[in-house]
Parts: sequence; C-alpha cells; structure tokens
Amino acid sequence: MVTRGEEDPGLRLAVEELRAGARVESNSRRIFDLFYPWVRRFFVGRGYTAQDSEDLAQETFDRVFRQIQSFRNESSFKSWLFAVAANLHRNEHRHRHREKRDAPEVSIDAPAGEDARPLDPPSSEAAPDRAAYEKERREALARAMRELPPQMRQVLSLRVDQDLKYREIAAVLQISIETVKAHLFQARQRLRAELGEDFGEWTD
Amino acid sequence: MPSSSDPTDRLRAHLRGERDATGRHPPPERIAAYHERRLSPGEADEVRAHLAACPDCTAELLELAALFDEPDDQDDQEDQDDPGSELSRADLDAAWRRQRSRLFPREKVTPLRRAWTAAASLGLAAALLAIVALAQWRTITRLSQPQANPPLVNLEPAGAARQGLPAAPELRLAPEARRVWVILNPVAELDAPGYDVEVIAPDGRTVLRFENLRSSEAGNFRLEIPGSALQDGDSRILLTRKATGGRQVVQEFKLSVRRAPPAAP
Repeated sequence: MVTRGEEDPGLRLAVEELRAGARVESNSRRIFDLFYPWVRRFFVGRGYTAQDSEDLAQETFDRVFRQIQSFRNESSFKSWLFAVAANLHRNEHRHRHREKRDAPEVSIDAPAGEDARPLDPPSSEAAPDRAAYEKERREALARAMRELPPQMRQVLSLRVDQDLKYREIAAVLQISIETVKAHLFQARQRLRAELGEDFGEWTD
Repeated sequence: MPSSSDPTDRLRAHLRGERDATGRHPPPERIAAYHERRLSPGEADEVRAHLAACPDCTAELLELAALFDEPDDQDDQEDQDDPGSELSRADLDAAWRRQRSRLFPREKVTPLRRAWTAAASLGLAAALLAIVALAQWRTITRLSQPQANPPLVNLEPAGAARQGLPAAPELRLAPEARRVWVILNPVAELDAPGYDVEVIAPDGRTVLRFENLRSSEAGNFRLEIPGSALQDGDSRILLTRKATGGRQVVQEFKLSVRRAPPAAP
C-alpha cells in the first residue's frame, strides 16, 4: 500500500515549478527519485517481468512529465501518477490478452436491448416460435431494467457483468457493503416480480 | 455451456449491450479525483455511471483503491515496505539516465554542423593566438629600445658659485624630454618644513609651483619638473618660506635651458 495523506510541501513545490516550466530537470529528477521505486513495484506486483516493469514505469513517468502542464490539481499528484500507471497496466493487459478476451465469450449469447448490436447472428435453424419467445423475453428484460433506480442498476451491472465482489462494488460506487447487498436483493425481487422466477436467479 | 435461454446470460448480455453505449473514458486525473472524493456530486455521478458500464476504468479505480486504501488482510501489509530497498542508488541513477534521455533527447549533430563548429573553434583559437603574439612582440620591441634617463641638474644658489660649477648651468633639452630632475642645493640653514619652490620662466611668468616641501636629510630638494615647464632661456627657481607679511625668498637658483633638436642617430 502506498502511504496516503497530504503531499509534502517540497513535492507540491516541485510539481508547481514543473507545471510552470521552472527547473524542469532538477524537479523531474526529484519526483522520479521519490516515486520510481513505487511505480516499478506496482508493475512487478501485477506479474510483469523486471524488465517490463522498468519499461512500463518509465513510460508512466514519460506520460506524467509530458502531460504535467495539463494536470489540473483535481486530484493529488500521487494519485494521478498511479492512475496513469493503472491506465497503462489496463492498456497493456488488454493488448496482451486481446485474443483471449475476445474468443470464448462472444458466441454464447445474442445481446438484447434496443441499442445493442448482435454479437452472434441468430441461428437459422431456430424455430420461429422459439425466436419470437427470446425476442419477447429480451424486450421485457430491457423494460424492467429501465425501471430500476440508477444506483441499483449500477450495482447489478458491476455484479453480473463485471463479476465484482461486494466490497469492490462498494469501493467503486463509494457506498457501504450493506447498501450493495440491499440493492442486489431488491433488484432480484423486482426482476423476479416483473419477469418471473427465472430472472431473479443469477449467480452471486 | 449456457444456452441462449439462460436468464443469467440474457441479463449479462443486456448489461454488455449497455456497455457499448459507454461514452469517452474519463482521464486518469478524473478517476484519481473520484477516488479521492474530490469531485462535485454531479461530476461523481457521471464517473459512477461510466464505471458501472466500463470494466477498464473500474479496474483502474480498483487499482487505486488497492494502493491507497487500508488493506483488509495481512497479505497486503508487505506492500507497505519501502520499495527503495529493492533498488540500489546505482540502479536508480541508471534508471534516471534512461528516463532523462527519453525526456530530454540531445540535439543531433550532423557531420556538416560538426565540421563547421570545429572550423569556427579553430579560427577563434588562431585569432586569439595572433592577438597574444602581437601584444608580446610589441612589448619585446618596446623593451628592446634604449631607455633615455631623464636629465638631472644640480643647481647651486645664484651668486654662490662653487669651484667648477657654473652658477647657471646650461641644460640642453631634447624636444621629446618629458621631465627633468632638478636638485636644489641651498646654502642657507634649513629648519622647519613648509618651503615652496616657484619656477619662473624667462618671460617672468610663474609656470610651476611646489608647495609645503621638506628638505632631504642631505639638505637639498629634489624636484621633478615637466619638460613643458622649461622654456628656452634662463629660468629662475625660487626657494621661499612663509614669513610675517608674506613669503620670504630663501634662495634663488638659475637654470639656462637650451632646447635642441634630437641628435641624429
């Protein structure tokens, strides 16, 4: 865990001077010395080799120093730095696992909803009554989902679509775990009431 | 394998369909600000809605939460150690050198530019060398010239001629003479300081005055008189001292100056 708390005045001054274009090299060096070991460890801890971790850490500092003019102090510098590192990690992870991610899941279901595009063409062998039944069920689900309060829908999405744990959902939405559980319980009740028993039985 | 009629799959598919409508990803600074709860309620709602539909941004936020929030179990505690111990100072310096070369790439020097730079440096060095050599040559030339000592005249008081010494010695003065050393040898008894010396040109004008002089231990006065103050003819030099009612002439000297053209080499 990286120690949280107020940033020290020296770091704040270095960031401000960098944003103003003053003493660029010495201030960059100061920030680099302060955080490079942490950023490198961030990548090592996510399974990258030592060499890849160093490359990604350097890419992180590259982005931060090049974008520091646009840093608006909306967050602390430290959080921004690690958000950039996390962003790089996600991009790298997606790049490395693109084929793995795309392959198995696409062909299982046809997506539902008005805005969705089909991921898999409907089987030509499906019986016309079966296809009509599926279409009706998808439309009913879309209607029922639209009726759910926004936060309840978000909890449902994070749970069912993103497979997050309760505490992760609580962290993402910044609500308590009890609220997460209550939302899921109520969402299940509502969908079951609207659509029948089988729609309230998703796997927790 | 789940079938298309599985309600859970249908729900999941519906949610993924919503994900396709996800807008632009918030930049990392916005995710960090959301994590630190620094956004306004409206801004936070926008980020929240995006997170619910975007696994990538959610994952980024969860990374920040794992880094900065309190760990739930002891397994996370090891991450609190300072990672500085994993890197030696030399490793960190080497990493900075690589980073520095990425951030501040040195300007490429083309062969032509390198040649021009070398030529300019050589030219500058040659010019400096020439200036120094010229200055040295001039100094040596000047020092090698014979140095003429300024003329020196020993003056006895007028009317007190000694044997072998004219009362008004003649001084042949070259036109380029800048100064003349004159030694006044008064015969009068000298005591306190406060003597003045006046140089009076042949036309009667006082052309030079020395004030408040003290005689040397030998009882004489040594004066450096500019050549320009000595005109052709007999000049008078008066040694005076302060007395009641004005200045009293202690001794009078005469100097006969003959300006002559410089001798032919």
